[in-house]
Amino acid sequence: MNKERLKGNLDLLLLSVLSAGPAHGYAVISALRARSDGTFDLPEGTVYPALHRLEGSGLLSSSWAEADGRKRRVYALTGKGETALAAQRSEWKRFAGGIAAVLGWQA
Amino acid sequence: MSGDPIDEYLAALRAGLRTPPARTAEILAEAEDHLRESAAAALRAGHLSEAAAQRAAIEAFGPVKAVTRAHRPSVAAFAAAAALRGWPLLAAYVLLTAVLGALLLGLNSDRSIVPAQTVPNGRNAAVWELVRPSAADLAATFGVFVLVGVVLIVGLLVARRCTRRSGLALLRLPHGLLPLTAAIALLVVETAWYQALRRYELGRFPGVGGTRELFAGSQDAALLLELGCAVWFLTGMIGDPVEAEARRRRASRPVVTAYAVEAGLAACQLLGGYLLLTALLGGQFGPLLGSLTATRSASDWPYTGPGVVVFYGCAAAGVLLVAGPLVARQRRQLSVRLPRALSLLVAVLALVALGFGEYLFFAGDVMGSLHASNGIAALVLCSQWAAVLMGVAWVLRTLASLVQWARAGRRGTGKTAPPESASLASAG
Repeated sequence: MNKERLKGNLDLLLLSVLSAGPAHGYAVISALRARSDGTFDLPEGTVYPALHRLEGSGLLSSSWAEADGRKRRVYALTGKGETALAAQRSEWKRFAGGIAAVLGWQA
Repeated sequence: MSGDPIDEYLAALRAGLRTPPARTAEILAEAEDHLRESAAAALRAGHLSEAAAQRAAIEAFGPVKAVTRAHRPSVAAFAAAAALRGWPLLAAYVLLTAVLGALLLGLNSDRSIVPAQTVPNGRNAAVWELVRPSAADLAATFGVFVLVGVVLIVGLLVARRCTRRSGLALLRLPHGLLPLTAAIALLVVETAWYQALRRYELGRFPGVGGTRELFAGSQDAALLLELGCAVWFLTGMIGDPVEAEARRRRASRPVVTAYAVEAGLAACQLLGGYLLLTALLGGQFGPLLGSLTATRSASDWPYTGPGVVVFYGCAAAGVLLVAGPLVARQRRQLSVRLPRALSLLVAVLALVALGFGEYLFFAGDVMGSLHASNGIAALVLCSQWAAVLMGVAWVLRTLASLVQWARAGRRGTGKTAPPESASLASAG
């Protein structure tokens, strides 16, 4: 998997994972790997800046909790994030449909 | 040295991050949570030892370089931090210019020295007269500077408030970058004002009451701030003792080569700082000193012929020798700390030897045996002052660091507080 291509779509993937409910970074990354069947396997540490950026844009919110005596940051989708996710999903669907049609994969 | 791979990884990550302290603490807390959980999962899933599970978690997290690069701020964030940190200096410079200019005017019984008429280029004579500046003249000269200064301060307060409200944290600039850049910029500004003042004195500009004092005030303000920035930079070069201790603790078994490299870097910085300060002082006092050794005006620029090469060579070599070790230390991440007392002793001895050697050179030149040009002689004299200033700065900084060390020991926190745990504990 081309890492640059993955990075270009990372926002959509992260928002999509968090649409299932609030989660901390490790859970988000684990879910991303599990749901992609290991296809999306970025260095885990490089995913956090993307989460921070999404939070800075107001698409995510975060709060600190305590777990096993450690500080844990939990991320959640905001209303703005839900709207952005819907828009990005719709855009991606059109794009993927177009690509599939050109490649002859669509019935 | 805990021997815990995750702790070591976090320490390396901390050293590589260029984010504000509070944000760094958050990133580290988050990374630690991730790594511990990932290691625990690996331990549950396979037949791995705890250390192997930690190493697997670290490998999945990514190399320190990749992670720090991902956290690296954008150029815009860097520019915003540099602008907001340099802003107070700019405001101080503008207001100090007005204050020093007014002081010079006051010392002259509120009378300004102005050329009576504009003299065309090519003629080096101007007729001078003493005038009491009119309100319009003062508004056009001092008033503009005061207004700009006030606008800058108000703008700074507004910008800081906006930054606080937006929750954006300012980026941490590389150690020593701001004072070094500011000192160089102020040297350029000072030189520009020097040229402007000289042209005004030669009658090239229309005479307006208060202009000469304002120009001179601006030059003096630039010099004061420039020297302040140079001392700020030089004192900071010894480094933060807490950070130095953290580096020492991170380093696994420092070897002789590590000490040799660190000693070389420190020597480069010492020499670079000395050359840079020499150029700064030479830029300001060179014209005056040049006139003492020959029959020339105090406003003549003394660096001509070989003097030009020596003067600008000093400045350029100083910048390179100072900046090079900063970059090298940043890239190496792990470094050792030289014994403080030994560093001080060697630095002071080197500075004394330099100063004394130059004194002999200067005396020889004055006696006419060396036939050095006025510019070089002036620069040599300035370098003696630089040696003295640096020696004082070194001693003061070392004393301050010793006091800090002693206070930390008295509080019972060991030689220094552990920065990693302290930052993590304060996160959130």
